[in-house]
Parts: sequence; structure tokens; C-alpha cells
Amino acid sequence: MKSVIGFLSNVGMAPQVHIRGGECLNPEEEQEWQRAQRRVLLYLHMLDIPAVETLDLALEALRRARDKNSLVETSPTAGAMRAIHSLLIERGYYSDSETPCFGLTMRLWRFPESPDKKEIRAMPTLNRGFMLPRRR
Amino acid sequence: MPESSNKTSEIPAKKKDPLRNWERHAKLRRFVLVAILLSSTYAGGYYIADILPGRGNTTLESAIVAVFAILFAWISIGFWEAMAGLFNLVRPFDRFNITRAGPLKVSLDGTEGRTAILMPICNEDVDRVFAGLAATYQSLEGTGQVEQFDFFVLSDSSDPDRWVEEEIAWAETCRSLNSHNHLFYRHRRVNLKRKSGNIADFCRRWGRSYKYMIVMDADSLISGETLVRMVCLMSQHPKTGIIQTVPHPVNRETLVARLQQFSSRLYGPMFNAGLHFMQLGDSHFWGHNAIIRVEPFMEHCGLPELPGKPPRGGYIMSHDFVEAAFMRRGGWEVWFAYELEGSYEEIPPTLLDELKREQRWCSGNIQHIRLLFMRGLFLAHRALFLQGVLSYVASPLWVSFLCLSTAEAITEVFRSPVYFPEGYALFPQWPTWYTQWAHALLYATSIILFTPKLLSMLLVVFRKGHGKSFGGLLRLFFSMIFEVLFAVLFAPVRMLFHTKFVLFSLFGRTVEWIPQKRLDHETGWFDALRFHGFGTFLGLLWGFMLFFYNEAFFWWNIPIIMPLILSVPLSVLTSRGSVGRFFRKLGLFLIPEELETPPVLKLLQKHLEKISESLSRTNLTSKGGFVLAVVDPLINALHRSFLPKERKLLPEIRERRNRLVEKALSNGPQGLNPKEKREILSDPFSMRRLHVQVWETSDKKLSEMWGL
Repeated sequence: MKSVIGFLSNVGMAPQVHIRGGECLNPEEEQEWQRAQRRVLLYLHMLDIPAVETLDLALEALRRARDKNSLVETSPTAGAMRAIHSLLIERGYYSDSETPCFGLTMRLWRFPESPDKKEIRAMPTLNRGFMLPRRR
Repeated sequence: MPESSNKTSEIPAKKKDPLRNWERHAKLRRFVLVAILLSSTYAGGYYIADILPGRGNTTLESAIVAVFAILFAWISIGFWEAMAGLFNLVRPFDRFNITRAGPLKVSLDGTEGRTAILMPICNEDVDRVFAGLAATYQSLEGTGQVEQFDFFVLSDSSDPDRWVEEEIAWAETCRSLNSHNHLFYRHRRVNLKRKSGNIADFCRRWGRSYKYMIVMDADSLISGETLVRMVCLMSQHPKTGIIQTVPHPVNRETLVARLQQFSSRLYGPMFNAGLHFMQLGDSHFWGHNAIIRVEPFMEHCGLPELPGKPPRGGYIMSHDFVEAAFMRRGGWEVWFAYELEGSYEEIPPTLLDELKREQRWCSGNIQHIRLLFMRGLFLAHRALFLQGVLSYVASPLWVSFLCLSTAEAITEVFRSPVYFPEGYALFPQWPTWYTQWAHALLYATSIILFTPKLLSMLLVVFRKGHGKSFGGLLRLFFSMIFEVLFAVLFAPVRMLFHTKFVLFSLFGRTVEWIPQKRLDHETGWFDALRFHGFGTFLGLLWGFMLFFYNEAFFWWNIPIIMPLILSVPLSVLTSRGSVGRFFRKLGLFLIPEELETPPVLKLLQKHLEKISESLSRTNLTSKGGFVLAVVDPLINALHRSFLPKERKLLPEIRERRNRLVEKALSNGPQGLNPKEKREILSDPFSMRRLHVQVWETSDKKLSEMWGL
């Protein structure tokens, strides 16, 4: 994971998000917010979302987490992750349901679209039949 | 035709078929084989009785003669089958060769119906499974007929990590081949009846959508052209229910596996042609690398559960022979395409792996004793069951023969000779040991065992142009000599293990189902000692006893005693890839596929390299599939999308699963056992909850445990 963050920082992609608009944070709090920032960036990196979109989403997620954080007592990491989940669902990247739509998942997996625009499936439609042992 | 076939399944009307009247020919051929077998067995038995000091008149000697007669008949079957194969191969035309009967159509026009290619797997090496599948898919694409086929990976994997890795490999393979909606994946939670149950489950769910199915093993590989050809053959022979191809063993580096590859490639064609000569449309099914007509399979090949406990009762373990017998009982023919090329498999890399597989097969074959008298089966298939049983029971018979002859040899030392066995007589009857007769019997047995090998070599030399496909005439000759030598060395070791397996099966000891090791790996000295220690001890004890009491007999048995004593180093050294490669460098045990690699094998190699690269997309990969499914958002989404839609669970089940999630969150993935991991993996709600909570945690230790 460190290598991912390191890579993002090296190429100047790791954004330094200023929390609470210039308000001074104690070192512990600052560390917590930095962890939240790293976690969000890592999550988006693992989702393979384009770089610019990643930064936009991360910034928005941290902003939302900050706003919520002032109202509800929760860790910055949890707040940021919750925010990023809802953001991803809002922008159609992700599904909120327990069993997400297969087609949506395949979009995440960058599956090329089928030429006949058919829905991508892991298994074909059931066509049930019987197979029973013959009575002895 | 049996009654059931007239009830529901429709056998197509008889038309002028080159395979017509095969039953009449089969009957005649089998009658001749049985006559030859009986006469040669009688001669062998009569001969050994004359060699023995008491002319076979004592109880001990009668037992020796009886056991020898059965064994002589057993080895004679192989010999005469090989001779039939030789006759079949040297004559200009075999009317019943299914690959040549009828027009050689090599393209499908879409009217044949769709074909499903099934790969049932259970905790197999994921890379190899999907590389093989991808190679087969691409080879099929090359024929332009891929639209007529669908691929199914039917997983029975119980290992939670493998389950997730299979899903990832499926997605990666679909993406790289652009094969979505043609390559499907299904994981079965309850592995009822293992492989046969897995196939039956496919038939019940999707069987009606397909006219044919081609069953592959996890290590199978079939070229696209062969797949198309198999479908065409089924289409040309509408009375055929199953066509079995010959899977050629390939891709192995260890010496023991290379020996098997070589012998199968050199001697296989003659024995296979012989099998076909005798069986014709009553052939066997090996469970993979075969095409099956789905509708009659579903109608006739449902396997019953045998009364009693495993291994003698319960579900049928060696299902393939039984399915072929049931297909015939249903009125459908089963053919062996012994000359169809392009069908491959990989064999166990070490002797120990081979023996573990043999234990499963032995247990399954012994179970067939219970099916010998099942109603409605054809005599040919009952004979096949018996042959399968004998292939393992022959070993305890060999052991009995050795024990009896040792007892005879030792008794001979202590027994005072009887010069006048019939009371008063003018001349004494001197005890005589006809060494020259014993030699003659030894030569006769050697001829029966080794002539087919020699003839196979000559066949290759004359048919395929000086054995070039095996590295040249000289190399072929020396390879054969060494192969025979190693076969002699391995025979007593295999005999001892087969005897153990037969006894285990008969006394009801169940066999643990360990997935076959399909990748090259080596046997360690400790493992070898654990497995072969008893054989070594037995060899030493037996050798010492014989040497002490009857030295002459000891020298007669040295080819059996020495391999047993040397079984540990033999097993270790022949499992070494380096030893195998050394022989390859010398040009020994080469097979045609090593000298000219078929395109589908090249594709396999290419995909193997590619898959291992693609799986390393994050450093979580080393943590295993379960962690990947929990942590990696893409894989979590993929896994959840495979699961059935959310159902309302009983409160106690939901509570149990919630407790498991809590346990995973407090103890990390190491705190869960495989069963608990499987339960979490099978519940979409728990998977989502765990994924969210692992990412939301700010606990440093917990984050590390999950690889964050």
C-alpha cells in the first residue's frame, strides 16, 4: 500500500487537502486526517478510477467527512470512507445493494461492451431439466 | 434394444451408416479373443504345474497353479488386445474407425445445435485451469466456429481462497479474450456426488440449452479443430451417445512423468486400436476429453446411490465407466476415436502423486463389483467393469503368487524327498527341478509382456518414418530399453501399493479426496521414506529369508526384491525435474509434441505467463483470495455479484454470521477457519459489511492484518 501512496506522491498526484479551512489541528487529529486521505486515495486507486476523477472524488469525500465530522462524533477515516461510498453510488460507479448488478461490476472491471449490447452475465439463463437415476 | 430406450428417447432411424452391423463383428471378435485366452491360459497353467516339484498335486501347488492361471490370463488380455491393435493399424482400412467413417466435414453450419465445453474443477491450480481454457478458446476462435460453443467452469472448490481466485481469473480471462457471454463460471456450495454431481447439476440447470457437451479435466487441452471435429462426428453418427478421444499426456519435466508420457505415446496407439477393435460401439468413457449427447445423457445416465456406506456403497466414485454402460443400456452407442489427434492432458508429476490418484481410482473400480450384475447392462460393459477391477486386484494376486511360491521354495528345503510316492516300486522317483522348463515359462511371460512394446516401436518406425517424431531411431530404441528397465523397477512398488489400496477398499476404508497435483514438484526424502518405508522393510526381510533358506530362488526373485529395497531413492530421484531434463537433453523419452509443439500447447504456455502477471495487480494477492474479496473493492463487487440475491435468513443464521463478521474484525483473517471463511463468502450482506468496516477502521493493527 505504501508503494501506491509513494507513487502517487512522487508523481504529484497525492493532494494535500486542507481540513477545516486553515484551522489549526492538533498533531493527532492531523495524523487521523492524513490517514483518512491516504485510505480514500488508496480505495479509489484500487477501483481503477481515472486520475483526475480520483482527485475530485477524494476532495469531495474529505469535505463531506469534515462537515459531518463536526456534527457526528466519528473517526475521520470512517467518515471519509462513508462519504466516498455514497459519492461512488451517486456517480454510478458502485452499487449499494448487497448483490450488485453484474453489468455494473463488469463496467468497473473495464469489460469491453458486447457487440450486440447484450447484458454481460456470469451464467446463462436457467433452462431447467431433470436428470434422475433409473429405478433399479 | 432395452425397454427404456423405447419409452422416451428417440433413436434416429437407421440409414446407410458405415458403422452398421458392428454388433455382429464385435461378437465374433470377442468370441475369438475369449477362445484364445482360455486356450493360452490352460497351456500356461498346465506348464507351471509340470515345473513344480509335486506336479501341482499338493494343496500349496494347486493354489500356485490357480493364481498363476488367473494372472496369465490377465497379462494375455493385454497381449492379444495389442495384437488386435497391430492388425487394426497395419491393415489398409478400418471400416469401424469413427474418425474416418463418413465425410470429413470440418465446419459447422449451426444446425448441429450448440455445444457446451465443461471444465469441472475442485481446488485446482487456478492459473493452469484458466490458461488451459483460454488456450482452448483461442484455438477454437481460430476455426471461426467459436459462436457455436459455450465454456463453463463448474467449480466445486471448497478452499475459500481458491474460490475467489477462480472468480478473478474468470473475469480476467473474459476481459482479455473478450469472451463474455461465452465463458461462464458457476461455484457449487454443496459438492454432492463430486464430479458426477457437478456435471449432473450443469445438466439440470442448462443441459436443455445444448445438444452436446464436451467434458474436460482441469489439466485437459483440446485444439479447436478437434473440438469442431468431435461435434461433426456426433452430427454424422446420430446413434452415438459418447465419443471418447485419446488424451495424450504432455508438458511434464519429471522423469517418472516423462516415462509415462513416452510409453503412452509410443505404445498407446497399438493398445488403443486393440481396445477399439474389441469394443467397437460398446466402448468406454474416461470422464474427460470426450463429447456427450446431452439429452440421452440426462435421460439415461443419472447415477444411483448404492446402499451401504462408502467406499463400498454411497455415491458411485468412478462414474465414467458406469455412465458409458448406462448410455449403452439406453440404446446409444459409445465409440472410441482412437486416431483423433489434438487432445491432451497432464499427468501426475511424481510416483507418490500417481499412487494417490490410483488409490481413488482403485476404490472406484472395486465399487464396480456391485454393478457387475445390475439389470439391463450389456455384457461388454460388465466385462469392462471386471477388467477395471482386475487391473487392481491383479496386484494382490501377484503378491499371493509370490507368497505361495516362497512358501513352496522354503518348504522344499525342509521336506524330505519321497522316492516311492506310490508305495513299493522297482525304481525310485527322483525329485527333479526342470530349470529349462522354468526358463521357458519365464521367456513366454516376457514375450507376452514385452512383445507389444517392441512391435509398437516397429510400428512407429515403419509408419511414421524412422521414428523422427521420437527423436530418431537410435534414441527411440534406447528410450524404449530404458523405459522397460524403469517399468520393471516400478512394477513391484506399484504392486505393493495397489495391494494396499485393494485391501483398504475391501475393508471399507474411505479415501480422502485430495485434488491431483498437476504442476511439477519433487518428492522429499522424508515423504518418500514415510510412503515407501514399509516396502523397503518388506523387501529386505523377504530377500534375507530367501537368501538364507533357498539361494537359487532368491536370485530368481531379485528383480522384485531389489526395486522394493530401492523404492525410496527411486521415488525421490524420478520425481526430480532436473533428472527428467537430463534425460531430455540426452534425447531420451522424447514425444512428438516436444519436437514439434502443437499451436494449442504454445497458446497454453503464453496464457500461463500472462495470467501470473495479471494476478499481481496489488500486493494483497499474497494474502490470498479471501482477503482480496474482503478488501479489494473491485473483487468484493465481483464476488458479491456472483452470489445469489439477498434472502431473508433465519434470525439465528443471521446472528451467527454477524458474530463471524465481528470475529473477523477483531482477530483478522487468520482468526477464521476455512469453514467460517466460506460462510462469510457465501453471504453478500456479510461480505459488504466486512468490506465497509475494514476500510473504515482506524485501528492500525487491524488495518495491517487486512493488508491496509
